[in-house]
Amino acid sequence: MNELAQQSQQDKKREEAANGVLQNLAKIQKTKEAEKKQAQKVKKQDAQQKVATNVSNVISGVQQKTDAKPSIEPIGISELDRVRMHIASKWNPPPAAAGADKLKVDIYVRLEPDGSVTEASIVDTKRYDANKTYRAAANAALRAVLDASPLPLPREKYDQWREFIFGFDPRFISR
Amino acid sequence: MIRHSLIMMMAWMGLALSMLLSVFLPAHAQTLRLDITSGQVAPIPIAIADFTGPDGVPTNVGRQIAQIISDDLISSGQFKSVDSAAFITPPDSPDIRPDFNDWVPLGVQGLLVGSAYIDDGGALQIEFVLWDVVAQRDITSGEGSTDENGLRRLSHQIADFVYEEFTGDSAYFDTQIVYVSESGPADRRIKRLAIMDQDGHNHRFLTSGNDLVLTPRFSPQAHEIAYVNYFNDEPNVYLLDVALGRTERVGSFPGMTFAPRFSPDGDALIMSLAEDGATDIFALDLKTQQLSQLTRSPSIDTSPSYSPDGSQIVFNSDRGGSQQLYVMSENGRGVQRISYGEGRYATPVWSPRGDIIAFTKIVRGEFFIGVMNKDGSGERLLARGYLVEGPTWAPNGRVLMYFKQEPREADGSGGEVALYRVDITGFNESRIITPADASDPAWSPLLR
Repeated sequence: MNELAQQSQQDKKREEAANGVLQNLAKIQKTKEAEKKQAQKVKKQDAQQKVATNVSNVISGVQQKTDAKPSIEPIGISELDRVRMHIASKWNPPPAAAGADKLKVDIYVRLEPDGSVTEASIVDTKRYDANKTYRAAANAALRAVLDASPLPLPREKYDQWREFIFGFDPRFISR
Repeated sequence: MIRHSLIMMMAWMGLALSMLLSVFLPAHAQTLRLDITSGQVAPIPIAIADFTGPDGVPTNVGRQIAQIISDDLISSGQFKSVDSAAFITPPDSPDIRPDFNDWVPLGVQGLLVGSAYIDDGGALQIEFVLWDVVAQRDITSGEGSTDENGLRRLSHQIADFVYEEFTGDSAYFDTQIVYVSESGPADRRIKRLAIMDQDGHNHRFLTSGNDLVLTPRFSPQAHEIAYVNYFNDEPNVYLLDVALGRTERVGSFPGMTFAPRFSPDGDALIMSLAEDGATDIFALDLKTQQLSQLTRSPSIDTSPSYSPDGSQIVFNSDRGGSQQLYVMSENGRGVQRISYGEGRYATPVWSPRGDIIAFTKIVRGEFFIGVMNKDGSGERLLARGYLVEGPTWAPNGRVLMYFKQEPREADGSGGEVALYRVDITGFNESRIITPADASDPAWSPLLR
């Protein structure tokens, strides 16, 4: 009987300890809320500086355009394939997304004439906020774009490629 | 919080400027669309810094915590961690934004920084921040406190956070394993129920070893364990209350009962009942004690396992001449054979994700652990051995645990039995260290 009482006391202690952990964990404050907002618009810390550079680029772009040679061709499939392969080499889709046919993530990207990424944002912010798997997939896609910067694109055709939407589609990836 | 508002402010300033600029942009500039359909499949590189004390120096508990988290993540096969010796500037506090220029060269995608120390009251205080090194922002953070006994558990929970943020899957580190611990010679084998964390720590025995025990299974809340206990050489299903250590026999039926498993809602037990040479599958309502017979055949129907929604049951039966897998509805109707490969099939277990079924397969004396789709298609074998048996799923359906026995040599050596786990990709097989031989593992649901 004594042994039993001791045992149940021990168990009670154990249970209390476990509850303690749980209660404390409930306190864990995720800062995701703030982060979600931020994720919608990831910019480099030197955003102002970049934008300033942008101004001069745009101006020189405009100048270029006025005396642009008419021989500039539309951006071609092989040039886009190069970008696609470059980004694919940086994309590590999360395990939960691999093979999924409804987890395509669109990332909106603004570029500088040298191909570097000045802005990259997740388009579907509603789904980002609501779904854990989509969030992991979107973060991985965002990392791929940022890691791939600068993108290998022909400077003379900058007017055609200053903005992209990259669709990261994991359905054909097995993991 | 301060760091957030600063970054946000800078971002907003940039946005305002670019809106002004857009006026000057050439009118024909358009947004190109490009789909990326291939990528790299590789473990996610991550840096886990030793958790520090208030003085910024790693603490003993902080080193332990970092090690547990790192071991968890690496064991999943989805992460690789960078040796802390390679860190350019070891972080000294989770409250300080890291200089990402120190972390980008290491090629890591994530950086976990935390503090952990024992306060004056003897409580362990923990805080952590998980950083996305490439996007240069924090992904998640948290804080908590516990007594020192809670160190491992809290570490597993932090590892769960990291796992979920990077994989998009639910995690499984804060879980336990119940299994049968075996000792003694083959003819006088002592078998006891034992429970431990999924990484093998916090091991303890649940039964004395007086009676032979088999096939423990967790209830959906992990409070109870259903298992088979041989009392007076007769096997019957028992329930064990994990917290109180109390056991009781389930019902009192003619014949023997075995192969128990809980229904997904925990309200029923499904099991085999053998009487007069026939073994059929029954469901027992745990509240009303009402027993319903689900199969009626002169054959041996056993190892039943519910689908996660409770609507179907997979089991094995020799009704077709050899032991094969069958699926039926929860009320026993619409029995359909699903296994058609070479050999015999046993111990089917429905994945918590619902899409696939794990099993043991025996072909020409060789044993395999495999998975197949719930209609029997797409069979894949993940592990093989002299004897491998009894798969059990991690609660996220990404990892299987099972037991493996080595052949016994003529001189009586060998024959060790141990627990192993493997990814559902068939990679990353690893042994779980236990104090003695181990068989019949069952993985708990996520405890939190």
